[in-house]
Amino acid sequence: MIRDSARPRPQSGLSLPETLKRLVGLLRGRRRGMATAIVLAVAAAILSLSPHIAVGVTLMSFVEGRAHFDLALLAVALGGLGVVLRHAAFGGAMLLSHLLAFDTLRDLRMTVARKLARVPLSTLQGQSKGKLRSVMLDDIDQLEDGIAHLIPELSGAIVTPVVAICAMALVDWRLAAVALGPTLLGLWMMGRLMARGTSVTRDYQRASAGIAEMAAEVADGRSTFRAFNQSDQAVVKAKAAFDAFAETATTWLRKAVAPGSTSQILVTGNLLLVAPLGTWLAATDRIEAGALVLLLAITAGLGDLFAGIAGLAHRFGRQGTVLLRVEELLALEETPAVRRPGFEATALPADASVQCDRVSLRLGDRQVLDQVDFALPAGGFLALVGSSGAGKSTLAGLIARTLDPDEGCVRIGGVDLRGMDEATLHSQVATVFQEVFLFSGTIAENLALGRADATHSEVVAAAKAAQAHDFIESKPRGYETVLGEGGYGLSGGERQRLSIARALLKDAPILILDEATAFADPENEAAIQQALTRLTAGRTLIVIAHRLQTVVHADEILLLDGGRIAERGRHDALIAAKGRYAALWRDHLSAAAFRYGDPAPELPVAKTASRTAAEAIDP
Amino acid sequence: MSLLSLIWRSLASDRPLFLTGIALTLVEGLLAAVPALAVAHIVAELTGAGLQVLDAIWIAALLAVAVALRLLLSIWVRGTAFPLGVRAGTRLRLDLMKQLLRLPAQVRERWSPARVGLLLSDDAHWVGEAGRMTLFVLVAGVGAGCLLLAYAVLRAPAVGVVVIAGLALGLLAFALGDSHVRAVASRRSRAVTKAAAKVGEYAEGMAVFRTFGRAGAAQAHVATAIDQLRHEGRRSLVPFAVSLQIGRIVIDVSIMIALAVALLMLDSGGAPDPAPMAGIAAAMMTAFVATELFVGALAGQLVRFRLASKAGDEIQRFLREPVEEETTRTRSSDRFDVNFERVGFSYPGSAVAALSDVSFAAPQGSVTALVGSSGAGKSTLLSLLAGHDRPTSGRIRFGGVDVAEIAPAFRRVVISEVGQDVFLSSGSLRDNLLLGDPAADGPALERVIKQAQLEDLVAALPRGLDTELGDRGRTLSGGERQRIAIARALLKNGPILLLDEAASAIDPATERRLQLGVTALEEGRTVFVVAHRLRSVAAADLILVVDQGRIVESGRHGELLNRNGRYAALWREQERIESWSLRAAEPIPYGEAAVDPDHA
Repeated sequence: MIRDSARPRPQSGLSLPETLKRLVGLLRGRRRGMATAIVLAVAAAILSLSPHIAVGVTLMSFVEGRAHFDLALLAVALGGLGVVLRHAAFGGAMLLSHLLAFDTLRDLRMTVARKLARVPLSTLQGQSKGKLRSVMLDDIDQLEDGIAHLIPELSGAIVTPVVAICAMALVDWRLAAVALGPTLLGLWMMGRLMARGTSVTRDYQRASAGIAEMAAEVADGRSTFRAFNQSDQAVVKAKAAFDAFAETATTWLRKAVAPGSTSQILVTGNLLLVAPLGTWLAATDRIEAGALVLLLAITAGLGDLFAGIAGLAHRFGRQGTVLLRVEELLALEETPAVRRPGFEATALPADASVQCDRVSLRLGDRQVLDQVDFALPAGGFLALVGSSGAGKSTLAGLIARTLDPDEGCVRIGGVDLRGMDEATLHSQVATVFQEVFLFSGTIAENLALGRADATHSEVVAAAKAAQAHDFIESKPRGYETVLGEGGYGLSGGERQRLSIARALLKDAPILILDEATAFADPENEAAIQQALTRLTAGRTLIVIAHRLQTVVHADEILLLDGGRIAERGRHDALIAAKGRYAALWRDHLSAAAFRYGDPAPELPVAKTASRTAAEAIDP
Repeated sequence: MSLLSLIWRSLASDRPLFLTGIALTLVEGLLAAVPALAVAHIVAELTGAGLQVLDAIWIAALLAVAVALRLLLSIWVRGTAFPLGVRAGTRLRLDLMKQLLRLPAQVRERWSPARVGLLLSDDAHWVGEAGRMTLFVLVAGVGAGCLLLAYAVLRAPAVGVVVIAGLALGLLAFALGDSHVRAVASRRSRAVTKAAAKVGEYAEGMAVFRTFGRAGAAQAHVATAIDQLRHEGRRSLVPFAVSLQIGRIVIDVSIMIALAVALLMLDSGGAPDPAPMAGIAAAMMTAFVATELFVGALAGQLVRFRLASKAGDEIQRFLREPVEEETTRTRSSDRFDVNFERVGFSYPGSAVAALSDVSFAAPQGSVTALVGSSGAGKSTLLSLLAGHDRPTSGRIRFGGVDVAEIAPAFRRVVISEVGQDVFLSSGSLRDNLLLGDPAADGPALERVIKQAQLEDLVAALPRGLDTELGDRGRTLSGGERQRIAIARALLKNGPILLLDEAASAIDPATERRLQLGVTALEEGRTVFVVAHRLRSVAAADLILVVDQGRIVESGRHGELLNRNGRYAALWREQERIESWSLRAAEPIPYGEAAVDPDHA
């Protein structure tokens, strides 16, 4: 993406009530369990007053003599029970809420997994793979904090101060009211600060993210910086970023953190007024000594009760961001259900012919395909050539129905693809890409992706035909060799041959080769060529090729440019026409004749249909 | 400990001010204990002599002064001492950045760019956070708690001792519980990693599963992995919950025991003497508040402290990576003939030599081609030439001078590399080109743009040369990126050129432009090229055929063909490949291959 420096950043995040609403929404069917967890958390919050009361009652018996002695012993015993119950209740709440969270996370992941099976393939291919992975793993993982911690903790954090104030008011309402004074002032300040501080906090987070980006960039380019003796330049650039961050951070400390500590001191400053006022009341016999002691014991720990609320806002903010990302994925448009206008009877293809009728497609504001038209009989061979961005892969994608055209229609064996279910379509078409997807598992399992019920000898036969058998056997455990994630441990040529073996097993009558011959290592390439010769025999063939030599025997060659068919015909006829294909062929020949160390040619090459750089600009 | 030493080191000249901040924070913590002491006094007076109105006045004054002082101190500390932590974080990041640029290339496998990114952002953040927050909160909380406990011990030793013993036990239980939690967590994360890899793979491979009509089977697989994630989470729940609560239960229960002890002392005293009773009551009150302060400070900062320690360890590990020593090598050379004399090389930790006994002579201005199958050692040879790796045996000479004596900076000046992976920074196209020579002027830039066939790209970009290449230029095609690399190398104008051809195919028109750029770049330089197509090296002055780390044949194209050895065989094979086309000959039916005598 070419960045416009003034590009506005999307506002991320949800308001607190919205976040809460969505978190609760995720708990559909588990609300009773969550209610129990909340009740337990609230019980724990109330029980957290028990040591205060035990201390208060004990001290009462000190100031009022032995009258309360038995009551105090009882209070201490109950206090002991209370603290144990408190921690047990809190532990129980956490246990329950985590169980619910893990169940909810599983359901949500399954929902995403099912979603991925229903969106158009082109949407999947358009998403960055890392993003899908991180939503399904990391983002959903973060929701554990929201469900398992935030909901019960928030309930506790709200209930505890209320209960404490009520308990104080029962003892003496005047002092209870006074105790609230500094707390309310502090809370008000905190609220104002939060409202004002969000932009400062956001700047801080943004600067922090900028550092990670810059660091990864320098790490990526460090050998380049070094090779050009420009390490100092990189350090200067980095220092500028760090200094900017430090400045933001310092501003954040001065504007948000320092005033924050003021409000924190006030919030926990209940004793500031209660202690002197209580002393005066006691000195003038306006309050009983026992009541004052009890009240002081409760107030002494009150500040910490509010501290729980302070940290929650930030965590809720993060939940909001994560929820939005998951929702964005779940909101992706799904492949339109199979429509069968006029296909009420059987929609099975008659043969392996492929037809495109005046197909057009726009993606964003770019006309990717424009009135493309061809009819390929069963067993025929069609080649797509042109520079990158000309529309070759998109056209091939229409045939595998990774996309539906805006106008026109694509038919296989006379059946409109939109009237064919996914299973039938995929039994008709196999695609071999330049990039090969292998999953972690054995080589045999990876091959069996082509056909689940293939016997071992069928798998071996396909591997042999794909020139893959020998290298598979040379691995320590042969077909049972476990590949790491992403097929780690195989060379590009080996991966390519496994992919060809898969396609052989799948045995679909229509075959699309997308740059499948683009390997330059001579040993691998010879093997791949042999494998492809086997694979392509007897099938309807659609081939995208940069190396024109590969497709000179095609029944028809389409030269695409900007989504249109610029020229079409057989190789010999196109050469004879002396048009753009002929120019491209000349380039092909001179590129093949290029030799290192030769002097520069007299004349520059003709400007041909090369990729226009304008396409480098993100639409 | 490594965390504290890291913070101390990064504070540099700010250390005195930082220590002042810590000392004042301790004072602030002690002031925070004042209200509890006032309450203790009230309780003691109520137990003993009774309160006077005067008490109310001085308590009001004392608390007001204490709060006012705390406000002042905390604002000063957060406004003045906390930024020192930020500055320490900045110094740490600069140290990390310098270390990053000094590290040899192989370290890349241990420290991927993403990981280094995290090191500089998150890890440095947590260490800085410890230096500006965690330490202060701990000092204040522990200071206040200790003051109150000392007061309790002075007023009533028995009560104080019980609470301190309970607190010590509680902290021990805390630590034990914490180490148990960490053990459970690391067991869990190992189990989770495997399942997570499966889930991630599913997300990435869904498109392929679907084209093979296997979406349902893939979903069943991913469901197992997702269930596994849930199972692992549930399994560790009980140990987590118990370990986390046990310390707090011990501390809270110890307070109750102290209360019982105090009550029994009151009961056994017969006719109570007011003075010790007042002391016990005051001690009880302060001890109780002390435990709350301890637990609050520790529990609140524990997670941060743990994150910071872990981050500190990672950073120390990175800073301890051995760097290329900058020796006293100062020689340069004004000739650029390149000689390899029995050069051998093994990667660290590998028993197999990547190169052995490699000798050849490449005169200044000649073109040397390296051919052979992938993994034969061609790229290793280039890497030794460039100085990314050093030979384990033998000698490389530039113009007769042993490169081991040549200054590394000089070597970097004379060598230009155009490789398969082209690094683009997210600056403008101009910035990216100027990396080759920051002092290049307009005409020079124009010339190389023309030579590297970049004119069309510049014309098509919205702001030409000044267009920012966001996302590190990833939307540029491979051919465009390589032409930018060629332009950079042209600007750098080093007399030795190393070319590593990309293996993947590009369309003929783009390929032709790239070749023209290369031709412009070769002129007058000593060139080394790793080539995939033998036709392209037919004019080279010297062709080295590399196999399993050795040079098995060398010479000019004609000589090598006449020798009818390895090169000649490769040549014939490739001529056949070059002329291959689909559906050219009689196809071999797949059915025949399926009937295999071994497996029939």
